Amino acid sequence: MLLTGTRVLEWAEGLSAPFASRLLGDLGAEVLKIEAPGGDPLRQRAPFWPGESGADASALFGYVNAGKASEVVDTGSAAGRARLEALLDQADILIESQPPEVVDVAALQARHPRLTVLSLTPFGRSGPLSGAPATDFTLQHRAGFAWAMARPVDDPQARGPLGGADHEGPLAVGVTGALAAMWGLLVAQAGGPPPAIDLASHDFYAHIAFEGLADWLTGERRFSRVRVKKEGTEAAGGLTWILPCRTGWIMVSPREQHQWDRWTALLGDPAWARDVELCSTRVHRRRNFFELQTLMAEWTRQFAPEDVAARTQAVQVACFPVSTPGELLANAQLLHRGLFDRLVSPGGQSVPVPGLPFKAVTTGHGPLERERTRRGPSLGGAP
Amino acid sequence: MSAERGQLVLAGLRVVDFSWIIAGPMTTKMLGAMGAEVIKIESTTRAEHAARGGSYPLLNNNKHSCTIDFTKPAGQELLHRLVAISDVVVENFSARVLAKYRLGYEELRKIRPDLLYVSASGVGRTGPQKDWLAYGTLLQAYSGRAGLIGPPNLKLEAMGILPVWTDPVTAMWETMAILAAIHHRRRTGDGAYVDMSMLEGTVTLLPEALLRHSLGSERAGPGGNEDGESAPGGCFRCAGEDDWIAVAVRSDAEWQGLWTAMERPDLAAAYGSAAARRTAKAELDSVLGGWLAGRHAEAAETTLLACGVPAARSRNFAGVIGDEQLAARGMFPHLADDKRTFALPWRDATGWRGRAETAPALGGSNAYVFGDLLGLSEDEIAALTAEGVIG
Repeated sequence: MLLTGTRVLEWAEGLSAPFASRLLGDLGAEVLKIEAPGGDPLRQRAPFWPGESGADASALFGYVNAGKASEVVDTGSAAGRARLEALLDQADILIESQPPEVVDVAALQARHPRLTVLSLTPFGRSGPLSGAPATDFTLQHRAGFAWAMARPVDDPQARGPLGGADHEGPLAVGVTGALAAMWGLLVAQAGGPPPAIDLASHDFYAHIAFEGLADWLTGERRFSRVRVKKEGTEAAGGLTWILPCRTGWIMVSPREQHQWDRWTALLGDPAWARDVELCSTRVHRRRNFFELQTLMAEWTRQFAPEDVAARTQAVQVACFPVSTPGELLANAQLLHRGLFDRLVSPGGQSVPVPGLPFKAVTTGHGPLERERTRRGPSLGGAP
Repeated sequence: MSAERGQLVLAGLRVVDFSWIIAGPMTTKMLGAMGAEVIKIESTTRAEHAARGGSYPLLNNNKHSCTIDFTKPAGQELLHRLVAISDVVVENFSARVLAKYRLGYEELRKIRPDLLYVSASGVGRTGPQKDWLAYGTLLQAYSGRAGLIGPPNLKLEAMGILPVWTDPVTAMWETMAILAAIHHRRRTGDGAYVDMSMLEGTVTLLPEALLRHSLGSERAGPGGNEDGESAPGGCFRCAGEDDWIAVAVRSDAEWQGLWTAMERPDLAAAYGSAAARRTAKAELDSVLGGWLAGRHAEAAETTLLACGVPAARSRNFAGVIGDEQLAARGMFPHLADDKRTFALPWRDATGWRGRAETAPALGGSNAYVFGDLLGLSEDEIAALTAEGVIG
């Protein structure tokens, strides 16, 4: 395991910071999560295991915290502070998401000079808004991500900017937290002074808005959300189509000329495909995006999405179904690669949940395990 | 050890970078920001390398560029010599290109046994779909995230197909995996092969939808402007043109802040618990929406933040680059040519957030790579250039 021997102490709640320490655990680190009496508020968050109740009943909590141990530490009491200090002495890295008035990172590192600290907070530990109220949802709107998610649209007054799917925002911040923690562990491994890492969720969302920065650097200032029929403001750049199937949908992107030629051959070389004004070049295909969509859909409507994707990929054109959650859990590619772990509840129920999104094998210490059996920590107990 | 040297923790590590488009270049940009010497392998014969427009200058900071035609056996020989004195290979080729041009892991580990070789591909290097052609936009649909943001529609509106998501998320996963493999290598001497799937990197972040499906829940969970926990909460229309604000009220304290800001103490008692507010969400959203409709988002944001309510005007990028918080934290540093780029997503307590050097000119480091590193004479370089191996 890549991080065997690394000890992580987590003093954090919610999604992002706990996911960061969980990922270090997935890579082989030993993770202890300390929780206030009553536990991480995520323990109260649905979905719950059917028929189970109490502090260990949230399946979402189990996913985000799988593989950790938990200890209840009341950091408001003298005994709790003493216990925290003892645990910090044994840790290589502290991952925390506490309010700034609760944790003085500089003082803490002065007492524990070999401790790396990752602080993962909404606005970060510096700047005029440090400590201001925010959630991942409001930060996605603040940092331009939500604006770009609903752009272009026909009627911006009716269709507002949009947040992301599921918990992808805060969990992606957690991945970035694990990355930043790895940087800190490398600094310490090389004998440097262990850093105090300051990761803001807000900074992450701004970081991934680089397409906006690219446009801004070429002089764009309005960033209108109104759909205009010109290059680049059509749906997905104008060369990627969504098409209805017998049931469900596919997306297809025959963007190069040779791909377009193979795609129209697959469609049976219909007469419209030879119409020069309609579709002879990328410029024409962009301009006639919606007309072409109607024509192409005549073919895709005959088949199921997975059939359209397989036939289209067979002629080397990019095409995939628009998946539903149930389809993902049955997806042949994901199952073949062993993406899914089994998450087991305190009552013995189990469901498939995603594991790490990469396979890794080392030359001397074997592969990272896939298809594991995982449990969330019971409050104050072992995983 | 100076502070900066301690932070450039990958100094002395050489990365051969075959990647292109977004995910791989973002990864190697971060490795360069942490001190690695990144050598980008490009070609004057490929239009996408020559163009260098769009996001290229933002995704390729902290790199050298050299030009090699690896379709020629002599180009492959040069690359094998370069790999022999390098530590990491990053690539996102199609599976066919890898085998055809002798650039796969099995080939290169014979040359450099402790090599860290990192592939990032659409659906991974194994499995029935490993040869399927993929783009980030399509993977955003295939991963299921698009359908969780908004219902599929012919205009692709409000489904999250734009902006990029799968690519930058892949870069975070990929860079994390590389750093973990480096940590392990420095401890054990092991090389490693990493096979990253962009599809899996996206699906892994959607646990609630998958859990709800397995547990028989009727709802899909949060997505779009329903965050699954706020009441009232969402994205509300304000008085200006295309003027919107996001508000999230979760706790009793935030609720008190909201009715204080709205000067509506009459609402306090009737909705005193989070459960009561959740039940009455539609009604409370309507009240809040009415209050916001007559206000400009910028002013409402100031009022709500002052009252302790999470709120943000929905900004476009012009608002993002002008954001005082991001400016204070050095998110978009100036380069030597006075253009801007984006820095590492984190900083440390000293304010350090990585090197930020201008993206390289095509083949700008040919003399360094072929002369200094590989020890070719000027005559040899000229001959290889004439044969089109370099170039």
